[in-house]
Amino acid sequence: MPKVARLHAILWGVFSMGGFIAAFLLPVLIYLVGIAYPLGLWPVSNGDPTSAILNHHHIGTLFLFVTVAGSLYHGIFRFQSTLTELGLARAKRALEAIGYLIIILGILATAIYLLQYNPSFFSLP
Amino acid sequence: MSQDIATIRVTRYRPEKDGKPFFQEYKVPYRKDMVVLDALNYIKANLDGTLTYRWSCRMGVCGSCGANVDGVPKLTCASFLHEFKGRTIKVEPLPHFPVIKDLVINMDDFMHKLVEIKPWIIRDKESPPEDGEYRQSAEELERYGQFSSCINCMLCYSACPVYGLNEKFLGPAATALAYRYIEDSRDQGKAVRFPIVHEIEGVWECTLVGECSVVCPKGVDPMLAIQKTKILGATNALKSLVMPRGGGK
Repeated sequence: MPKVARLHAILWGVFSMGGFIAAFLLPVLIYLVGIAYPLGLWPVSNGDPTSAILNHHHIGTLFLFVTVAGSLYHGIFRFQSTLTELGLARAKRALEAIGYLIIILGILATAIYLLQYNPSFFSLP
Repeated sequence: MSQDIATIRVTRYRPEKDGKPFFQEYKVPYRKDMVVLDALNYIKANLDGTLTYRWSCRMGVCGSCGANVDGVPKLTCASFLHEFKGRTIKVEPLPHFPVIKDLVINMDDFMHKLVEIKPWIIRDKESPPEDGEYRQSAEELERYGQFSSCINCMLCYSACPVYGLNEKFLGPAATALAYRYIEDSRDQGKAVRFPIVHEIEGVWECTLVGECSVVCPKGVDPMLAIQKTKILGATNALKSLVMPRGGGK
């Protein structure tokens, strides 16, 4: 496979995994944070849903990171596809660059927030 | 059998004479069992012998008579006139292809793509006929069966917005056919076909619109073939990353 195509294949694989994550984990997060908590259905009596997820285990931190980062990456890939379908060949590169910048900043911000909340994440259990 | 009158607006275009395509309207008497192709044949036989279009089998097998019927790529032999009762039926050449004359399109690009993916069984070494046939189980046949039903009518290319924007895109039918051979247990040509389908303008251009599968008159799902080919490409690329010496091929 040509090198450029190989890179594209790997990025597509990540996008595909991001779509899987977005489809399966994001609804769980939306339910917990957006529906269960405001309606008083949250099983934990103290703390908000994000704190409860983060306090529970390192897996909670990983769950939040993978859900947010996977969904963001999936979003930018679909955004690229939409630009192609709209035939915006000229503007595509610039819009893609802006989109990727926003996504990278979003993923970095998520990682920094989660590591600040849970600085022991990378230490051995 | 009672007869109604269908109003048909057909695209007329002779590049050597006409500056741009225009519509010509015809009134065609029809019965319930008549299709758009019958109407075109009626026009050519009785109203205007200069109308030009392709057709052959009249039974949805040859894939020659594709046209844009009422804005949707269809086989004219499978589009019944009574379904358009009370409406003017627009018949145009398939979009995304250059027009040679009236409804006849230039298929050269598709034909090149078809040959490019090598639509035949490739063997490392051919066995002599006396060794018998290459046997295959029903399960093995099922893995690619639907993709071998393609009749090369090119409706999927006309429905694909990506091909409309980038004619270098390998496109639905050629990929479906490539996948048909990739999945065939008798074939040993993956190493030859993968570099073609996994080029940037092979499968990766596809944005998953899915119209190719919607318009296919034979129930083939080219979108599925493209997705499965992408999965094979991504898996191979990851393998080659993890195991650079012979992981992904």
